[in-house]
Amino acid sequence: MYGLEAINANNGWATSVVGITIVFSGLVVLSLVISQLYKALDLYENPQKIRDWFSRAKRSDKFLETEVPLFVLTEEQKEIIKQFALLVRTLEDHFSLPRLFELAQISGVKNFHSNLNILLKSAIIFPDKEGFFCWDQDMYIKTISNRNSLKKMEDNRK
Amino acid sequence: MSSISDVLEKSIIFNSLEDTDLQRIAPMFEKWELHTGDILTTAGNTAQYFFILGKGTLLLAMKDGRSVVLDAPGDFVAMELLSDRGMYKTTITALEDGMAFVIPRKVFLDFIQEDTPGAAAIMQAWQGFLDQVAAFAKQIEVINVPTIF
Amino acid sequence: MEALFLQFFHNTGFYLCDYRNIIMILVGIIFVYLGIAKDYEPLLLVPIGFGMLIGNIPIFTGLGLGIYEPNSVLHYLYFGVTQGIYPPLIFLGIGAMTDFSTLLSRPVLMLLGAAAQAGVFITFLGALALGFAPHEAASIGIIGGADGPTAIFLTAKLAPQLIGPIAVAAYSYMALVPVIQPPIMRLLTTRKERLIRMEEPREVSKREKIIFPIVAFLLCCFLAPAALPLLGMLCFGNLLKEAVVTERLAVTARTTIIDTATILLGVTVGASTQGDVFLTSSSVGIFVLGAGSFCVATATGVLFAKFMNLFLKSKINPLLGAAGVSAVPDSARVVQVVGQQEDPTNFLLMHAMAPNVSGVIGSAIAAGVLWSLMASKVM
Repeated sequence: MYGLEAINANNGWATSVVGITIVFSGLVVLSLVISQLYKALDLYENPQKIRDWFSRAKRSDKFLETEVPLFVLTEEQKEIIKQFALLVRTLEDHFSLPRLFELAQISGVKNFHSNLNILLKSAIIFPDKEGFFCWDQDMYIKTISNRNSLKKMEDNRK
Repeated sequence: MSSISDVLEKSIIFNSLEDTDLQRIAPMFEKWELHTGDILTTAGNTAQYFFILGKGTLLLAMKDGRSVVLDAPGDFVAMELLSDRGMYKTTITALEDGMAFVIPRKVFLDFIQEDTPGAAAIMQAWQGFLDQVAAFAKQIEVINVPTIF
Repeated sequence: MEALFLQFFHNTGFYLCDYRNIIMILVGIIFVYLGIAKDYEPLLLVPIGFGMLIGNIPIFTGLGLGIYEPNSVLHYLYFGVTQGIYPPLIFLGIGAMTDFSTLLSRPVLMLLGAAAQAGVFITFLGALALGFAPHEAASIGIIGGADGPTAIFLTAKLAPQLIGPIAVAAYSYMALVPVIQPPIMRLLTTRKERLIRMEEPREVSKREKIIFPIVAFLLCCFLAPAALPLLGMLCFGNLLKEAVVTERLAVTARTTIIDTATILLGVTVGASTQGDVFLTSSSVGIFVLGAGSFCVATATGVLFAKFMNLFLKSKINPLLGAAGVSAVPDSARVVQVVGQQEDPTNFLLMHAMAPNVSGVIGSAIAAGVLWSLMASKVM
C-alpha cells in the first residue's frame, strides 16, 4: 500500500496531528512556566514586594469603604485622562513614561505635563521599580467615575 | 518648604551631615523657580548643576526609555556631574510648577572632593537613595563615581 | 597441504568479499576522510566510518565475529544500541555541557524548537506514503529531529533492523547542516528579515538555572512519559552542571561518559551497516526521506518564526527558526553565519542557542510521543 491510501490506512494524519500537538503543548507549557519562573523567584528573594501588594490592596479597600477619592478631576481633565488611557493601550504592560510623554505630545494632548502629573499623583500610573511604569485600571475607573468631591489631593494633603 | 536649610534637613543625603558641613554647603545653593514643562537638563549634555527638589514633580528620563519621577522635597538629581565625563544621563522635565535648589558643578566638586567625612557621608547616602528610588540605575551610577569614593 | 591453503583462502575476506562490502568500505573511508580532512562532525563520522570498515570485513559466518552473530564481542557492544543504553548516556553528557541561559532569558524562542519538530511528523507521513510500516515510518521521521542519539534510541525501540541506515542518514545530514540549511533559510526570508537584530537577553540567575532542569523534566515527562530516558538524563546532566557542588560528576558526564558512549555507539552503529543488510532499497528511501525531513524541519522552523513575528512586539530574526532542528551547535552556527553574511555586526549565535537546545528537548519529546503511539504496533 502506498500514497494517501497507506497514510489513511495507518491512521497517519491523526498520529501526526496528535504528535505535533503534544510536542507543541509540552514546549508551550514549559516556556510559559519558565517565563514566570524568574518573577516567582524575585518574589521569593524580595518578600517585601508581596507585603507591598497586600498593603496596596488594603489601601484600595479603605478607599472603597470611605468612597473618598484621592484625586477628583474636572470633566476636561477626565477627557484628557481618557486620551492617556487610549495611548497607554498601545504600549506594553510595563511601559516607558518618556514614551507616553512623547506620544501625548505628538497626539496633541492638552496640558500633557500637568495631566501626566495627575496620573502619577492619583497612582493611576505607578512605577514598577525597574524604571518603567504600569497602568492601574481599577484606580483609573474609580477616579474617572468619581463625582463626589471637588477637592484636590493637594488640598487633602494640606 | 522654601529655605535651603529646611530642604537639606529633609534630604536623606544631607541630613546626616554635621551642622558645620551643612552651614558650609547651604550658601552654595541658589534657588530656581520651576514652571510646568521646563526642561532642566538634557541627557548627553555637559552637566552644569546639581539639583535638590524643594517643591514640585520632576520626570527624569533616561535614553533607554526608563525613567524616575521625583516629587518629595529633598530628592536630588544629577549626581552624575561627579563623573569624569560629567554628562547628564537624564533629561529632566518639570511636570508641575515648583522650586529647586541648584549648586554649580565646580562648586560642588570642590566641596565633595575635599575627602572629608561629610563628602563620604554624601556618597554613602547617595547609594542608599539610589537603592530606594532607582535601584536599576545604581549600576550606571557606580561606574561613574570617581574611584576615590 | 594444498587443501589447507585452499580452505584458508576460502575463509579470507578476499574470497568472501561481496561488491556491497566494497561499497560500504568506500563509504566508510569517505566518512573518515570527511571527519578528518573536512572536519565535518569528526567525533561522530570517524567512529562511524571506522565502524563501517569493521562491519564490512567479509567474515565466515559461524565464527562468532559479526555484529549480528549472538555471543560475538561486537554483538555485546551493539547491545547498548539495540537496548537504547548509549543514547541516554550521551544525553547525560549533553545536559552537563549545555547552558540553557538564553532559553531562560527568552522562553518564547522555545516555540521554534517545537515548530521544527513538524518536520518529523511530515516525514512520518511521507514514509507511510512510500510504503513503510508505521513503526518504521516513525523511526525515519525522527531523522528530522536532527538528533543522532534520539534517532538511534527510537529506532532501537521501534525498528531495530533500520538502525544502520537511520543512524548513518541522521549523522550524515547533521554533518551536512552547513550545506543543507542556508539555501532554505535564504529562500524563505527577505534581506530585511535577516537583518533583524535581537534584543539583548536578560541576565539569568543561578537559582533559575538550577530549577529549570527539574521543572523541565517534571513537566515534559508527565506529558510524554516515554521521553523519560532521554529527557531524564539530559535534565539530570544539566542539574549536575548548574548545581556547582556536583561539578566533579558533571565533568565526568561531559567528558569520560559522553566520550565512551559516543565511541561505542559510533563504532557499533558503523559496524551494523554490513553491505548485505544496509544496501537495500529501503535504505535509499530512508536517505531520501531523511534529507527531506531535514529540509522540512528547517523550513517549518523559519516559517514559524515569521509567523510569530506577526504577533510579537519585539521581532525575532526568522533565521533563528532554522536552529530549532537541534543539531547542537551546528545549526546555531549556521544561523550566525547566514546572519553575518547580511550584517557582519549582527551576532545571532547566542540567541540561536535557545531554539537549538529547545530542539533537543522537542525531539526527545517527539521521540517519546512516537514511541508511545507506535509501541502497540511493534508488540
